[in-house]
Amino acid sequence: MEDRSFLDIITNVFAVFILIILFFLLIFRQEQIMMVEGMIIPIEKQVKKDFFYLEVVDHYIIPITADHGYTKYYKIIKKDYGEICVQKKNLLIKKGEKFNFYNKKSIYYHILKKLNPSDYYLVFLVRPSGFNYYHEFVKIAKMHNFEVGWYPYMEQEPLKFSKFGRTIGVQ
Amino acid sequence: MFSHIERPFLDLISGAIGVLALFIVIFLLSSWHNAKIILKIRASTFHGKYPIFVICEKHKNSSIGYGILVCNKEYLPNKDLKMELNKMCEYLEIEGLNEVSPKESWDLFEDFITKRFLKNKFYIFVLIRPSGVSIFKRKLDPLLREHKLSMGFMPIPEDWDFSISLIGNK
Repeated sequence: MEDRSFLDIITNVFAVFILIILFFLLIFRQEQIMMVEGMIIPIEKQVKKDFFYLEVVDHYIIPITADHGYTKYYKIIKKDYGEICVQKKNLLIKKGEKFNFYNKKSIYYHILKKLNPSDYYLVFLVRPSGFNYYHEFVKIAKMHNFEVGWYPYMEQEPLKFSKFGRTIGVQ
Repeated sequence: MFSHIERPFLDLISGAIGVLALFIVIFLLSSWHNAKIILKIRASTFHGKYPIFVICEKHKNSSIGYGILVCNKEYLPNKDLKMELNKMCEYLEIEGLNEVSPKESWDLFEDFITKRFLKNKFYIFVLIRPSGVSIFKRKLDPLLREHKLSMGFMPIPEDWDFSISLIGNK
């Protein structure tokens, strides 16, 4: 019986030792920091190129412009001042993978290969849910030599394109 | 007799230590996954002007958002520029930007832009938080465009920090 008590004491000493190590790890641990590179060219400027609009929702990138043979993913409502683009119902539920940035076969990578960066710049219309991913999107676009502009939109705000509105330049 | 008294006590101690250790391990693992994210902004001068940063965001319990001048001067390369930024920050502080409603703060901010902002030395770079999208579009963007001030802007998620450095400066 005394042997078992001795083993118990050894176990306890070992456990206390582990606890002390964990306690020190807790106190002296270094904060985990992840660095994300921001854009380098700061000022918005106008360039003599055509633009190609992309909507950013979460980590999905959807082409708004239906030129270049891309399917229309938006219903267009004509107004006196211009037009409103409304995303087709359940688009991301039905065809999410097609727009998923992390899918290398997604339409975004197709656009980067197909468009000529000396003729076009990309304009991202970014919803708040896409803020976490935007810097990654831009990094890839710049790797493909594209100039990039962006403008924020509220989560449910309609995409309005007005002839009286603001031109979005590159940054 | 000895083991009948000692063992339950030791078992209890072991159990308590085990539970405590488990909590610490869980906490360490969870904090490992919730790493702090820092957006490293590498700004550059523009026609000899240096960037100053304004954050658009909404505070809790606030109906509309604020535009807040970032008063961190460390990235500026010389004493004069640091002093100029300091003066601009002091002006906003003295005017009580932090003590007024968001609506009044925008009147003060416009006043600052028209009277105190040194547009020959600085340009404005806006960091837009998700909660600040609306205020950027309704207030700051039209205000800066009205005054023909060149600017840049960048999205930054709500919980990210940022660090600023100038290209070419260490």
